[in-house]
Amino acid sequence: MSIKNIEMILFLIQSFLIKPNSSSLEISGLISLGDVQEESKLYLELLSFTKDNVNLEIYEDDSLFYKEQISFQDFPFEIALPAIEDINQTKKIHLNMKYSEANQVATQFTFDLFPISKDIAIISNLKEGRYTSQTPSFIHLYAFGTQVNLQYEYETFISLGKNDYQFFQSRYFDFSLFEFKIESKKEIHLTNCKVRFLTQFLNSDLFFQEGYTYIDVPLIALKKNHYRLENDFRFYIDRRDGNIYETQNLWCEEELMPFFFPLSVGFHQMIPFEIILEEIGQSKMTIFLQNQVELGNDLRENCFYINKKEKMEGIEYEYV
Amino acid sequence: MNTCKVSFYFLLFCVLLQSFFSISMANKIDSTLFLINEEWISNFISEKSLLEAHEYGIEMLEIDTLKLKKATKEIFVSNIPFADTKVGFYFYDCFTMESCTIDGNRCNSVQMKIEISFMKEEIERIVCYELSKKN
Repeated sequence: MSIKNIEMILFLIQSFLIKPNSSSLEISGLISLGDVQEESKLYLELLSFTKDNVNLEIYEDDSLFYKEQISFQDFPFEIALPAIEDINQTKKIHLNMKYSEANQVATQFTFDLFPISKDIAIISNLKEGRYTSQTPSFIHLYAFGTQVNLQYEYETFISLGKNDYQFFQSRYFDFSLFEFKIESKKEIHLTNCKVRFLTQFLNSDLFFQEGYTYIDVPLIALKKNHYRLENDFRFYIDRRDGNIYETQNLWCEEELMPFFFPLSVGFHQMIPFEIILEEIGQSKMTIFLQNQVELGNDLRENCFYINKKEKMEGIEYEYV
Repeated sequence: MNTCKVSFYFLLFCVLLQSFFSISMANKIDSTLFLINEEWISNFISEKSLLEAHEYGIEMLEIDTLKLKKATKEIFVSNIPFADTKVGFYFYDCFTMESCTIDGNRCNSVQMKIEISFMKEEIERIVCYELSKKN
């Protein structure tokens, strides 16, 4: 059991021991922090409420930003909080709920509003690499009367791959070996990522291609916020020059192939690669999973060409 | 007498020039032929067949015939552009020793007939590269 949970249980016990007032308001809420110039969202849910109406006032750095009379029927509701203009700026938000009749405070609390950090992180330990966002993505609140508990929730990226990538019998790059999950309050929807090989491959004309090879790879959701890369069969081999294309043309084989390393890549050569996952979750973090792959064994080592001395006679040559 | 001398020297110069070109061309042809070797041929194993071979064994290996023809032609054109070169190819299956144009046989080996004609000289070479399993 985490310290956060213990804190919450202690808080609930404490709240219970402080005799529940017949007019106590019990709410839970979630504040999703936004990016710079993007609104943060406050979501409030009613747990128990015995009176009809409350006056809700929200102050942004001591100036009134929002004022509304709300009844229990209006719950749950969502309010957009002011956007932060600058990455270094913070705003103090004060929320005050008063009973309409007696002008008595139902609940109040203050929290700091700041933009998410949009971290860029490099993980080279693909087996159990972790990265937690620098700033929280959510603020979870629980209020029982004037007793308020605020919890700052962070998002954590966890890599579940492995550290040694050697392909002994194949030149296929097996994308399905890469797995990761994100610990977050919200369900995160990811559709694809980029894989970049930090090696310039020789093309079929024995010239180095320009730049590095980027491949957009789809992601498969295994569980909630748990993903794996999909082996991507969408490449065609050109019959004429042996090049690999993403779109079929007249000269391409009909069969779809996964990505594989060209023959110019020597065996036992280390090929650095990185998997780039952009704007993940509420914290919009960008993760670079970096490692290297080695082709372990050349099938061609089991066979070779010999220059045959005895030539065949009476054969028909095709001339070019 | 002088005209005779000049003619003699001119003739001698022509002969020397021709033999220089012949030797130089012969060297060029030899060095070009030297480039076409076992290692060079193995670069033309088709990627698709290599992937198949990982699953079904090295009997599936095949030469990318179009690529080999194109590259061989290019190597002669770029190295000895003044010579007229003809290259004949015969692709066959080293396991059945039959032409790979016959169904069921794969193009894993090649015999090439290279005919180079330059000035009045004609050179003909036959080379054969056959796939072989390591023991």
